[in-house]
Amino acid sequence: MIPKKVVIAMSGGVDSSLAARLLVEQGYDVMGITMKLWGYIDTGGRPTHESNCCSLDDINNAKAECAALGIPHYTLDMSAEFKQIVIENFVSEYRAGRTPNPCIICNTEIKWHALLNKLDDLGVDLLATGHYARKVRHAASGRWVIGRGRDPVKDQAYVLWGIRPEDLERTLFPLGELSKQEVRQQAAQAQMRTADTPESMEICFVPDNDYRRFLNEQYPAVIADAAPGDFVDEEGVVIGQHQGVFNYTIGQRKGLGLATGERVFVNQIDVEHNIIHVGSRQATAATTFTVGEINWLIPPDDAWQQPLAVQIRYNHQAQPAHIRELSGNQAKISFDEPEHAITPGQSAVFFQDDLVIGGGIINLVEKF
Amino acid sequence: MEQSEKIFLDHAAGTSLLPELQQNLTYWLGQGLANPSSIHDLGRQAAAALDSARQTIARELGAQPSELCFTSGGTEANNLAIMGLAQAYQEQGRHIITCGTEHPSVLETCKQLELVGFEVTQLPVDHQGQLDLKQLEHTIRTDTSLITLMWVNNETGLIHPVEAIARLAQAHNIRFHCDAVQAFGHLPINVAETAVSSLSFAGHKLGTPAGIGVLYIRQGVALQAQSYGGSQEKGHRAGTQNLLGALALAQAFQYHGQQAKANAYHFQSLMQNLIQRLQAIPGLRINRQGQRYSAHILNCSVAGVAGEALFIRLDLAGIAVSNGSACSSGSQTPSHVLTAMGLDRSQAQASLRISLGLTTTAAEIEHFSTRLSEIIRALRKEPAHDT
Repeated sequence: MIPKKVVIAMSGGVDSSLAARLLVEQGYDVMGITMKLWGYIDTGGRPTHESNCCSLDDINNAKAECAALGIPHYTLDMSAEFKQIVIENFVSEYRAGRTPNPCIICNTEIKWHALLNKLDDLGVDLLATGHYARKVRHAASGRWVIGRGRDPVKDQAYVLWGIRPEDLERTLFPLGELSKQEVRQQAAQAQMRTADTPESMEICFVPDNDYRRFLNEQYPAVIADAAPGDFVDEEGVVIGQHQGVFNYTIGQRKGLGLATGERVFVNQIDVEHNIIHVGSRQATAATTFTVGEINWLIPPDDAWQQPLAVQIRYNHQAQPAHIRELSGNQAKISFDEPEHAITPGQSAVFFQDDLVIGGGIINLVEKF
Repeated sequence: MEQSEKIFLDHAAGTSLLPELQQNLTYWLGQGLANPSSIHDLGRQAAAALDSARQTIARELGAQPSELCFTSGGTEANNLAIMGLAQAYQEQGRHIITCGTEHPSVLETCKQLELVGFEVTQLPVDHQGQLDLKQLEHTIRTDTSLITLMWVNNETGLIHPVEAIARLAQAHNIRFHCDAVQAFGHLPINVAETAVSSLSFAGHKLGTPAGIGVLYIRQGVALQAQSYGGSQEKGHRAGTQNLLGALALAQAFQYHGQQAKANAYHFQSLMQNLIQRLQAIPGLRINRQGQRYSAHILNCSVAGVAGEALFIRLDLAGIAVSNGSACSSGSQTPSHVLTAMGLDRSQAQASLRISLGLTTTAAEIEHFSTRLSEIIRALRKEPAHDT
């Protein structure tokens, strides 16, 4: 039997490197691809780790791991697509007073959609990544959905909700059943050079985690447009000046420069009037919000009014909610209990148990 | 992925070791390689061996042994010549003339000189990559002190009119450095007949291991050293010489000198064969016109396919060709040579440099052409390209 051709998307870290090894061991015909997304010399900021995606060291690591496995490795320059889709969205979302998650749009549009398009040209069927997630058959609908990784600490199902069903069909997650510790152990056992590569948690093109610096340096014109405006409290009283809406995110407490004597949080960013509403932590709580750009992994009719758990940011514990249909690919979600800092621009991901059945981008939050 | 038997058509990047060298390298290593600058007997033997290597190379070039400076390769030779000549003659002027299709080791060195106040004019080229001698002459100014233009282009095989450039430079009392890395072994080179000031050569294009090159500098031409710490190579290049490399280089020069005629026939007939086969592939454009090309390099562009996919497919088929300036960082910057010739970005990205070597066979050319044609057809069938 002719083995199936798989491309493993390799960052040069331990996860994707071990995933490549596992695929080879499972008998696939494997090719390593490293996507060059962003020249990090251009990015500025001090990388917080030695290892940063898209650096020459990482490309060399991926190349060396492939050489050790006896499989080919190629670097694909996808920096044009990355800039056009991911960076542009990042900038325009901040400009609109929202808080984007660039890793999610990168997964959806670059790592999956654009890369799979290129794989068609190479006659390759399957794409694998080193994400901690599982591809699972959804019992009720028979569709492929995304299961949380077995390692609860490393689980990355949240950032994968946007993968189109036809792209998920062609996906493999070799690490879904493993814990990070097992991955490191197996990598060490195989004497892989990437066995001890550090975790990278930051946004790849903002290695110092300072997105304000990034915007200031890379998009000075956008920032120049963002005029200072008023901070307004719950009573509607102006209590200070903000430095332009892009500097703030919902639920933010630090760095507001307000001496109110009480702890205040950003609870709404009104771009139209250039006003930032602040208030007590309680004032950031809400139960109902709309979601757009929904990607359904199962037929949505199976989800309306069904109990779900919804996760509203990477480090959030999914909470019980109901979903109601709006027009198009929009919906309204209501948590059973109020949640703090539901943030426009972030992703809301719909879970049935530990399975992602869909997700979307948070738009309007209804205040009490 | 499964890879088939290899066909290596990337000899301009670095060609196979000359068969007779393999044995000799082992023998020389067995002799023990002392430092040629040492005063003891073994050192003197090493110096004598180095001297004889220098004589052999000089003879092949019609040069004096004292006019040769061993380097680590072509890049270093180009750096040393351009930096060294520009600095030695800056009293005369700080204007340098080059062109956009030169090797990066020339263009980047010129850029460095620009940073310290030199002015560099990059001559434009036509669609074949050829420069205009009249334009060159018009570009010469009273403060022009150096012209640096290559002999054979490493991506297209185009031959520059070196004799004419040399005469022009001489008439204006301007140094002319010529990067001859892709020329030796394919074109007759004799410094008695061509009034260049300096020439660069690289061993690994001639069948030695990488790590050895040589710079010819005409007697009486001043050159500012670029490395310090020893008086080796007449003070032009400090550092213990690579004796093993120099011996290999001498043997390669001698071989190419002796075999010039037979090799020329080998390359010409294979190239003719290659061109005929490629001409039969629809939508494939051969980037050469006329006869002024070396017979070992051919550049072609494939319309309507993505460059990356083409190269990966060729590699998976076991075929080694080059896309000009493939860079290890993965940036798909289109070849500066092809863009200087007026090719657009996508044409330049889907361009192949095919370069032949002494070991290349007609069967390889045939197999390559067939596979290339199949791959192009497969890529064009993709619905993504039908729109």
